[in-house]
Amino acid sequence: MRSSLKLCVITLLLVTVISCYRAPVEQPHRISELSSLILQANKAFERGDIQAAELIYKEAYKKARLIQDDNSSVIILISLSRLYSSLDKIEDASSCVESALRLSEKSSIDRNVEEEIIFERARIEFLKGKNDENSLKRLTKSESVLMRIKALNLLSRIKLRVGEPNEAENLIKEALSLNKNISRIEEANSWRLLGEIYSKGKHNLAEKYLLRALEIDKEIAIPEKIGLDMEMLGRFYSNAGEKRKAIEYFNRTLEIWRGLGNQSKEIKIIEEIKRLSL
Amino acid sequence: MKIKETDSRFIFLRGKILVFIITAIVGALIFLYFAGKERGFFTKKKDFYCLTSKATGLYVGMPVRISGFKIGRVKKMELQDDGFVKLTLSIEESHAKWFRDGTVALFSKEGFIGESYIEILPGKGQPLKPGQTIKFFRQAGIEEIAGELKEEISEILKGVKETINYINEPEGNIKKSINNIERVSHNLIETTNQLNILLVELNRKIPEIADKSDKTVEEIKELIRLLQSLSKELHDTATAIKGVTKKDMPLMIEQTKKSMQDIDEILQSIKGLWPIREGIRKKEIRPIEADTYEK
Repeated sequence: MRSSLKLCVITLLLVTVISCYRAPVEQPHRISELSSLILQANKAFERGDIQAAELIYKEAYKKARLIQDDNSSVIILISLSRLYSSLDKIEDASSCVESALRLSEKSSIDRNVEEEIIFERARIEFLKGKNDENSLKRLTKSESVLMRIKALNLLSRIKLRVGEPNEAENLIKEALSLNKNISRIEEANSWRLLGEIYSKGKHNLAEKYLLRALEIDKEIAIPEKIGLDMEMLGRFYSNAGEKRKAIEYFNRTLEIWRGLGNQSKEIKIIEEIKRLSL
Repeated sequence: MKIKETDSRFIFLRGKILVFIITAIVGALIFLYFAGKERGFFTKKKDFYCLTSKATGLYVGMPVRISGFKIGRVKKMELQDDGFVKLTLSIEESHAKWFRDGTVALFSKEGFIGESYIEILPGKGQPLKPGQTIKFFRQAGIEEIAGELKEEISEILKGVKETINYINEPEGNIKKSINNIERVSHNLIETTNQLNILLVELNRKIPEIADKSDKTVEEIKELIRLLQSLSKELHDTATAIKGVTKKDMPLMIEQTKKSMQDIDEILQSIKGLWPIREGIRKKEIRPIEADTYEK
């Protein structure tokens, strides 16, 4: 009697679950609407409207979950992670990456998107002070040349951090040999990194490469990158004992950070200038 | 008593009839077999599904093709509770391999008025299992294109008409502003001319100032008074300009912005139209680019 009652309850439960479940409906207009939202958010981020970009990504994410589009959901989460990392919100970025990873494990997503998640996780880990060399080594064999370049550049930064400058130099040279008109930003990143590697010994080469990075960043006109290059040059001249040049570059950097409203960097540069002026 | 058959044509008549019937049945069976084989009745099939909001032009038995080759047909069409139509595509087992993640079914026609069929555009992902759903899109036929175009063109014409009416409206902001600017410019030119005359006069009188005679002083005083009144006039004119720009310009900018948004919406609609949309390269959805040296 008891077992038959149990069976009845289980059957009833199963029937309820099956009758309530309805597979998500594929709706082409919703898919195109979602794609256009993601493109809109990307554009907002590119023109520096971070707040608008964040709102649009969040809206797009809701829509993506509604139609259970896992591929687009992962793309949005990666973008949000990059947006938060640009605002120094590393913990928020990290939680976006974790969500993207969980989603990608459950569903089949495009190969390039999968690589983007692995790279993003390694990048965020690097910003948190951890080194995910294995993932990046795997990405250096990617089919996408841009992904290979990015993986090599980041891996080189890790090598430099752990005190293996020779290894870092080789990786950067490989990235530069691959980067034939593929990404100007990454090219500038490679030159800057090479300048950083040579700054402990090969003074002339370091100066040349740091200036080359600055030249490229001026061409692509990204103020944050120009500021970063000038700050690097300021530090380089300061370490080399060329106070006048160092102050000159720090002053220019200060103007850029002030223009961008980056107060924490502004304070740091003011301290550098004060220290050099003593 | 049994009658002996003497006519040779009727000897073994039963047997002959039986052979005839059997031959006919076997012939019919062979015919049916080959006809069935030709039509694919004996080929193993696998079912895949599509969902569409509109079943116009679709019918059971409609061919399903890939690169122009028939690989199956529409087996069933059902109207679901949510208003969507579920199509069951019966696909020959040997062709099920084309059904992968990203596969899309496209409702097409041979030419604009030819036979309708469902074209399968294979995907590149993992193979799909029978019973899975693929995306369905429709390529508009000539009637739909004409309908779509008519609707969009009337929208464009409506927008253009509204803009022209807005510009031409006598009491409208644009006309008013142009009139105001014309009036203000005229006043400005007049005042500047008067000011120039006065300055010439003042210039002429300067050598006489040295005389310090009462007459000259009086004349200078008069000139200064005139200058003051002109200066007031200029001030009024400038205030008028400020008023015009303050009052009308934001409105004009707002209206222009609205018109631009309308034009943008219309352009977006036109971009979405077939066959224009076919010529516009679709942007791939990607995350924003990562920077390996952000800080």
